[in-house]
Amino acid sequence: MKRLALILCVVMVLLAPAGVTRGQPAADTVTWGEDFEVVLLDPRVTQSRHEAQVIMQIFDTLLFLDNDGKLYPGLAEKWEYSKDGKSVTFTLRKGVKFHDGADFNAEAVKFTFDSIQNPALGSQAAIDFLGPYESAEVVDQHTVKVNWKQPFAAALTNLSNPWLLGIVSPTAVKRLGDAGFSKAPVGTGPFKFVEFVPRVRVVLERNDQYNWAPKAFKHQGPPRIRRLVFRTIPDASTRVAALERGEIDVADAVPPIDVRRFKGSRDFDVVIGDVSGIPFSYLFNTTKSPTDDVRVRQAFMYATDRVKITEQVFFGVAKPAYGPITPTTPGYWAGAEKMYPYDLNKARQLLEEAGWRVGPGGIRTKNGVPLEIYFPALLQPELGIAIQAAVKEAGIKFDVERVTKAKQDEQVMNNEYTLGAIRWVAVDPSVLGIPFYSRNIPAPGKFKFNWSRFGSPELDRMILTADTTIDPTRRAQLLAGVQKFVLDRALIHPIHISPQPIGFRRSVQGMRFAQGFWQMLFYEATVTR
Amino acid sequence: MSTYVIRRLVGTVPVLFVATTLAFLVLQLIPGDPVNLMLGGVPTSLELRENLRKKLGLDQPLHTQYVTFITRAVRGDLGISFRTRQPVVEVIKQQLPSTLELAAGGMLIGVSFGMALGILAGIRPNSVIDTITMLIAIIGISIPGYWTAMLLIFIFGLKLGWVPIVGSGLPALILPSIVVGSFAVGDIARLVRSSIVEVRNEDYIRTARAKGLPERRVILRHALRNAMIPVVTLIGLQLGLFVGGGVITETVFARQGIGKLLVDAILEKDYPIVQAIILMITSAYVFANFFVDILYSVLDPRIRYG
Repeated sequence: MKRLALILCVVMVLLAPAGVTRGQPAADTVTWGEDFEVVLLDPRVTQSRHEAQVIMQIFDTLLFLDNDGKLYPGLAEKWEYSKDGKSVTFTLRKGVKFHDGADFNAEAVKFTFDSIQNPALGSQAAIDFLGPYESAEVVDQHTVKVNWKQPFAAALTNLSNPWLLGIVSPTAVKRLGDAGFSKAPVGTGPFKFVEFVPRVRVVLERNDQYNWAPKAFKHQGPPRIRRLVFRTIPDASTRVAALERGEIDVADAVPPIDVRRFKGSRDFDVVIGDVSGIPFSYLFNTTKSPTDDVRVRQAFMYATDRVKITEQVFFGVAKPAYGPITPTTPGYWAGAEKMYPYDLNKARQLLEEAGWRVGPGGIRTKNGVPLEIYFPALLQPELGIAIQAAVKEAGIKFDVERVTKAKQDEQVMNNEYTLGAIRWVAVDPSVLGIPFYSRNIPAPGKFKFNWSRFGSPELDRMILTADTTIDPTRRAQLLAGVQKFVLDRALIHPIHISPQPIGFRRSVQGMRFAQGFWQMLFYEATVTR
Repeated sequence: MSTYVIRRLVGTVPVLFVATTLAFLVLQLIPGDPVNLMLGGVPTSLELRENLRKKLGLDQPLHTQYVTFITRAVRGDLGISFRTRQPVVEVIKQQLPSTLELAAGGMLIGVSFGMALGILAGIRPNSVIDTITMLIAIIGISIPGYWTAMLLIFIFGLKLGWVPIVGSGLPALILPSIVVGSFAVGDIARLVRSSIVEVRNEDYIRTARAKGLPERRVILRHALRNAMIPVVTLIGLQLGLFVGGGVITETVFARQGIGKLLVDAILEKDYPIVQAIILMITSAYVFANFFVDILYSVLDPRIRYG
């Protein structure tokens, strides 16, 4: 018996030193810990913001849109809108090569955009970012004219999207096939694809030929780091532990509690991206009682103290939101901030006017029916609970039920909810069409995002006009009109801007948020060991 | 013996068939349209959706889908994953080594510590050692794996720095093996203990002692061997569990593996993957039990099969 114990002890002692090597990543390598697995690395196919994180290091776009909203030449040196706003002619940069050695030219641009239209490819998002695409004409080797069926105001911002409309190598796609390409992508970007181990990691390597970086970057030439590794670590605590132990250098989606800890630490720091697009918002179902009454919807909004709630739930990591698009999105209308301040009395007064009287347990009733709002909570149920407590003060019973994505989608399509939650990472304000075009009202078998189910020809026309007006000043005015319209009618209840807290070792510098403030670009990153 | 083996092998076929049929039907009951889930929140035209549906064969009636699935499965073709668009066999092949590694590691921990603790407790029932070891066993069974994992990462990964947290290779296997094995440790220890307690008063043990055999030999050769039958059954069942049940461990330690693949596939309604994994886990159970039955006769030659 003693011998057995002894053997076990020896085995344990022998095993221990095997692991004693502290996580010591190689110099020149940066390892990123990602909260979700990546599957498809083809910009033309993906719809995942996690895959985006990898894809945008490998591909370049025709134009580069910086975080300040300024457009820079990318693979295109010059561009010009046609008079009717339906075409843009791009003069392409010369001397650019794909990672497989093929030349970048007008044919490659045409191939990329045309292939996105092919249903066999199964494009999930790029196809929508191309808008009412008609064709691409190869004028000469370095000139391409892209045509749309109608004037397309979002054309330039969309074409600068670094993870959906990156230009792919036609030779590589033909050689590998679409499925093969999505596992071994070839672009012109600062990093080359090396290895993909599903559910574990993607490894990229510096593209030593790279000398066509957009002028938005101070650095030019090949990237400074040699290798870039994306490690999938779904569990947040594990990701943070791996960062602290030095097994990874950067971690995405750092929990708020760790953000506070890292902020004051010697070795680590956090940057928080205020994600652009549609903030985390509730959409009221205008076809269902009680939210078919605008006064109920407005009362709900007045009863929510967004400043206090976001502070409590996110420890100050997230900022409250007031408009249907965030301040970091072009065309943001600041007037939204003055609407619906926290005002409990106003909320009570509106409900009284609407005929809802305080009943048993403080919940209001009308004709014996309690004032009940049902929320199938896929996103942020904990925030739902905080809001539940807030609106109860006004006499609203807010039912928050945790559901799976599949369940939520069924309920949305079958109109079995009174309130739903959405958020949308986007760079162009045309994102407003997603929850507000009447054609996006969900129906059985048709999953769409107009969850307030508010169909109005007037609103449709307003959005369409904004989407087809090329002049930025005029467009901003039209967009302000759209934002005011949906807030006046309390279709959407913006709650907070989605935060993207990125934790990193201080020895890694020079990372930069890509447009939209969700992903990080590693082109200029440096690492000191 | 060989007739028995063949008969048992043939007997596995209907079990596998029923299991896959059930899996196929149950999947249809879960709400959610795979096409919608695949496209996520992306606004796409109805036409695109229909195209995708056709491509995946989801436009066919249910019984046609089922027949296609079975005829292909028999030929070893488990279809293409909706999500990764790779052959299912390939997807599983990528994940399997990691799962088997973890199962082996968990088994090693479970069996060695479980047996050791069980023997310690069993030879002196109701002693202090017994109480302490059984307490350890109960802790092993009752603490959720998620919590054990976090605790181990915190102590041995972060504070002491003995083992990597998400690394690769043998050192990275230690903590996950302990988490997976800790359930088995408790189960096996309790069973070994009660089996030993049961046999230690048997006549043949007294005879062995009376022959003047050293106590260690009495325990290991006589008591333990006879106490092993229920334990081997349990180990067989645990093996099946290891193959499919590692989802939490796999998530926390950011490992590849069948468990997480299965859960993700269910959530995303990736039918081909779910069906293939259920087929695989069922096979694992069936064959583990099959080997257990064979082991019975080795352990206890009195068990005869005709």
